[in-house]
Amino acid sequence: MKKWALFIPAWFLVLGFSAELSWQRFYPDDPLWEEPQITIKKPVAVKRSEISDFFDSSTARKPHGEIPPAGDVNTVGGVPDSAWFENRIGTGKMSVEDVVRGPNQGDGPDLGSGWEITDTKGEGVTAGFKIKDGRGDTYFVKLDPVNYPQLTTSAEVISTKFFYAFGYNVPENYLAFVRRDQLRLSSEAVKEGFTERQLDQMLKKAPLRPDGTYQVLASRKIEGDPVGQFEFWGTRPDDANDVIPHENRRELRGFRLFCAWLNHIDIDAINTLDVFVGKKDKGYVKHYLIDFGTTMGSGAFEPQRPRVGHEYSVDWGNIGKSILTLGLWEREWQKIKYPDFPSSVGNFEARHFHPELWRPDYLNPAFERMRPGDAFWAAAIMSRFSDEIVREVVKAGRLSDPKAERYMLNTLLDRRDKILSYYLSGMNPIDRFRIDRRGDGWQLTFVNLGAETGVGQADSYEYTWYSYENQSDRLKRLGDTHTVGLEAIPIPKESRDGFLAVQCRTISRDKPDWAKPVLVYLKRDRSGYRVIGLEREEENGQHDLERRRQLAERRDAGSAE
Amino acid sequence: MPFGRNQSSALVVVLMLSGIAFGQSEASAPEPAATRAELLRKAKLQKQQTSTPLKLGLMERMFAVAENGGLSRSPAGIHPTIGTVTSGSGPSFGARFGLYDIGQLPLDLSIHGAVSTRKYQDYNVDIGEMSSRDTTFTLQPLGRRLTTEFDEGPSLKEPGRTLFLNVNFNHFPREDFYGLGPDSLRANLSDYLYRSVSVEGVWGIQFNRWLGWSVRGGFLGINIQPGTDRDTPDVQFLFAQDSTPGLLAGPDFLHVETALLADYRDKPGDAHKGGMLGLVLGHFDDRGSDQLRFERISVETRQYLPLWSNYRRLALRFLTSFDQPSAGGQVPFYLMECLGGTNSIRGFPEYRFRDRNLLLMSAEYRWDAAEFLQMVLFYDTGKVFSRPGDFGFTGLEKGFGGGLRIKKGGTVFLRLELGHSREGNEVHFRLGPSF
Repeated sequence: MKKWALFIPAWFLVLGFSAELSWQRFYPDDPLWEEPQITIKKPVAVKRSEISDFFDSSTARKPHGEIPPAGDVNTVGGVPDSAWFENRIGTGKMSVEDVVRGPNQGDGPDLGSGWEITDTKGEGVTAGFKIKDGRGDTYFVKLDPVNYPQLTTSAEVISTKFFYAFGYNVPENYLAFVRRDQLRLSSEAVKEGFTERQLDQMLKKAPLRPDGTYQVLASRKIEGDPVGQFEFWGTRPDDANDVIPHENRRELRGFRLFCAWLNHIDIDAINTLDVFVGKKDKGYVKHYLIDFGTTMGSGAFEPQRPRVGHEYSVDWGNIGKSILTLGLWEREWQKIKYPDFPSSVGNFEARHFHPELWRPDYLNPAFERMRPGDAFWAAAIMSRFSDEIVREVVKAGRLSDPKAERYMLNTLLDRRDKILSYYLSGMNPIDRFRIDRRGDGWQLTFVNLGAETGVGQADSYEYTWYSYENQSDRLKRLGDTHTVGLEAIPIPKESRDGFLAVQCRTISRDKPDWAKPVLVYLKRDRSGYRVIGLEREEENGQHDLERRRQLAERRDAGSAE
Repeated sequence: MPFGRNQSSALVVVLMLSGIAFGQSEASAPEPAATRAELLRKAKLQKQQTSTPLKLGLMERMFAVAENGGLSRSPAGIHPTIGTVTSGSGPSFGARFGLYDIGQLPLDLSIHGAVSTRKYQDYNVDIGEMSSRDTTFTLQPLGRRLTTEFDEGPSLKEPGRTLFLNVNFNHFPREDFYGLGPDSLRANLSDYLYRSVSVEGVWGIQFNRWLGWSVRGGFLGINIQPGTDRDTPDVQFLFAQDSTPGLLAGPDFLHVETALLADYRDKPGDAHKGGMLGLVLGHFDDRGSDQLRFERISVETRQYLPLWSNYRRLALRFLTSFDQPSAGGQVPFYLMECLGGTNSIRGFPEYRFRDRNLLLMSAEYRWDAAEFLQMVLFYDTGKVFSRPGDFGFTGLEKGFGGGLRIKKGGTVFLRLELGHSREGNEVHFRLGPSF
């Protein structure tokens, strides 16, 4: 039997219900779109271990029982701007140019007087070094593997722009083209034992372009003092702004969809960075995602391995089957005949990609707790990526082979469509609610994301109005259920100042799950109505995990698409 | 009626209990918040009052140091190492120190020392032009046996050359010896201490990705003493000089060796397809008595065949070696190649059979149970023989078994194997690939 549960944003509930003396569901500033920050002292800097992260994530941090709704959600299901996340493309206010510019504030490192190498790159799997450019700015420079020109650097630049547009904090990443004679060693690098010959050796392992330059990724040093990395679990005890367990943050749960789209499998604490912004005893911790060198088809120093994205690096069940059958049993992904990938794209494909069965390199506590509501939030953001935006972002990777660029674009579009189709089919996909004038009255308009992205078609929308009492949390039905054919619901004229709610179902012959109700809360004030609350019905978290497990089993048995 | 109104209170409790702290803090706050932002700010201020520094556990800190390049991130400086000194030494731990481009010249210095769990010691000082060493075929010091001569690491070769001076000191305190020939008895297990010092020049050139040539030559001083295993009789106690050449002598040698390697393996550290062909010619000249002068010729070929999948393959190996003493000369027992152990017939113990000549064939069925885990079933066969005319496929010793291997960085990092032969079972635990 299907078990249904409410998804009600956590702030909405926890904050509202707990103020005992003057209980109110909605506060005057709802929905909150900016999380207030308090200033803190600079936390102590720590260095996380990937091995520890792997063991913890694979064992103690696995979800058990019912998964709570995300905790950092406002009353309309959105994630407020914070040190973690900033609403960007999801607001619909980012132009194509904005997305292509991404986090970059300038034109990249200045090559006018060459680069001074100050250190070898100590982190990540690709070869590289740290430089100071002509303006004195510091960059981390990465190279491509010699047999795969543009594989890593182009993938990283493209992915950075996507992750920025989603709303995450990412470094400024530029493509640059540098000649050997524009590189010199600083006295610090020489002192560290780095020599000109080693630099030559390093460059020998990078592809040299016909014009005598190397394509490099120049990642500008993030402003602030690094204080460690964040885990996808728990909170940091010395950061007072960090009050929601990371595994319950919607932007980290929904991050799974973005990672699946871009095949960003290297998701762990090591590829994050916390920096303290401000003075020593007055500032806050800002959370960054870094190192997108293993996204799409890039495995950093070679094309991505076929297992990646299909199975965790350690899957004891599959290992056991392989041992018991002396290797004769094969995983489904092992049977995939990959097309002849362009070398600058690597192993990246859409045909065998299944959004729900996509896997990062190892268990991620936040991903494992992603509920349909979290996925819907991410899908709604993804729905903003038009073909044109994706095309322009891919162009920013400056792939020299037009075939490779076309292949990457088509693969990204196909994977996007699969994700949207999967996650917008299971819930009522109406969103982006707005109040508009309608004659001498008002109407509630919305967008059917499923219809907009071609996932399905709505036949009509059923709605029922309620009056709502904020102090007692009571709904009182106002009249019958009505039906409209367009995405606009007239607001009852007789309503007085205060609160209204409307329950809406989307009727679609091919998408029965669209009939799941969405409840929208409105508040009337002097200037008119505004949307202050939103509830969506979603599947229960535990049920969802079970469904995922069953899907995986079906795929292993060869019956899943 | 809208859905689920009655469930919300229960859900609040779940949320509060799950550690989302705002509600708890506000519940105890004397003044109710007027806005959502104020409510949240209060929760943060309350956490600030109980803020404690983040402390990582000891294990995590240790892992983090190891993952970030150990004590030094620079290619120069001191780096810890883990490996194997020689067959039967057990795992070894040591340190490597490097200096590069000394005096802005193409001159590098590498010092490496390692001690194994069985107290085997290996010290190397290399000085010369070694920038291409990892990608150029170069002959190893003699302490590494012929059976591992061509296992140089996971790097694909690249055109280049290297030239350096190698000073090597080996101290192998308990080398096993069962007597010479195919009929040696297991009951005759004895041991000896092998100590060598060599000062040799090494030159290697890699013509292209698949063809490399190397020459190594210089002084080799060897000292044989009673073994240190108290439970095993000393070799001089069980065997006589007549039947065991070199038993009483600890001569110095002039040693010259050259080898050609045609390597077309796809991944040298864990080949899936392709193969290799290696040829080694050696000359050992006893400078003391001229009685232990001999030539060596060895041929090894390996082939890797995928079995209808990238994840299953057959690995085949053929190795033969002939030591030809000069007229009236002999081959000292401690320089003879051996059969038995982790790199030859795994159903027998290390050094179970030794003689002037050797034939070894191995077949392994390997499959990848995971990226980090390789499983294997193997069959080894071979023999040692005193006269080249005895070369042939009769009288072969056999062994079979299976095991698992941990892979890291494109090569087999660790092996655990169980071999069976007519003499029983042998468990092998070794760092590094088989072939």
